[in-house]
Amino acid sequence: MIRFPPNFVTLAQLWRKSRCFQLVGSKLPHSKMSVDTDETHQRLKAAVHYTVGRLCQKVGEEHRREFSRQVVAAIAETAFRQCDVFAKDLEAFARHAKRSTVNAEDVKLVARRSTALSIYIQNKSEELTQEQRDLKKKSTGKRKSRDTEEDSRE
Amino acid sequence: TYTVHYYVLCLQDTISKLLSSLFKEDKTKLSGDAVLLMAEMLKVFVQEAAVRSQKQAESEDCDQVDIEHFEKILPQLVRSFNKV
Repeated sequence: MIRFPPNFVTLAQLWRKSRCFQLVGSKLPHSKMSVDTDETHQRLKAAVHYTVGRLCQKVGEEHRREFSRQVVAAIAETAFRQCDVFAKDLEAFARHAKRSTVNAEDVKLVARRSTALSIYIQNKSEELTQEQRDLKKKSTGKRKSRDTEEDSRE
Repeated sequence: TYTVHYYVLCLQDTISKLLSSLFKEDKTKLSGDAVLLMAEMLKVFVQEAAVRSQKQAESEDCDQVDIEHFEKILPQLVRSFNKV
């Protein structure tokens, strides 16, 4: 059972009210989406806010310091704005490669702005590729040893 | 652990819809891998923000991490994620 500090009660209520759960798993009717873009944005913002709250809570627990509601909101807002930057860059990279689908290569280019982040994302990408290769391989009885690189973090 | 996985799935779904809504063109789509990696990237961003804010609060002997701590570390954080 996950326990939240008191200031998260309102946030959870807001999140439940915005019916963010509907976004997960179930398909959003496309016709409705164009009409309710603002509402959708609000729900997405609330979902980001909720996740930021969870991550801050975890960091807070590790260092025995609570994050105020205002700072969580501020981090969430900044993260949301950063997504806008990411989205525009991703789209530009994909377009430059004459693709309409953003893929992992575009993400790696965006991550290149930070060395530590770039290494982390590169590792994650390789993990993903390896997992996909392992899944594709039919079980032949041969066991393959996996090389796992250590994440290099600052 | 079900709850943890649910939140991870929720974030990926959220990221997918969020980024899609922020693209300039309707035809731009996201591959599954891109969504996964972007969710990771956003997680790193938020964790960096949180950890740095926490360290700032610690250096100021504050019991709670507050908005002024975040504001102090924000310029460097933005710079490190948006180097040209």
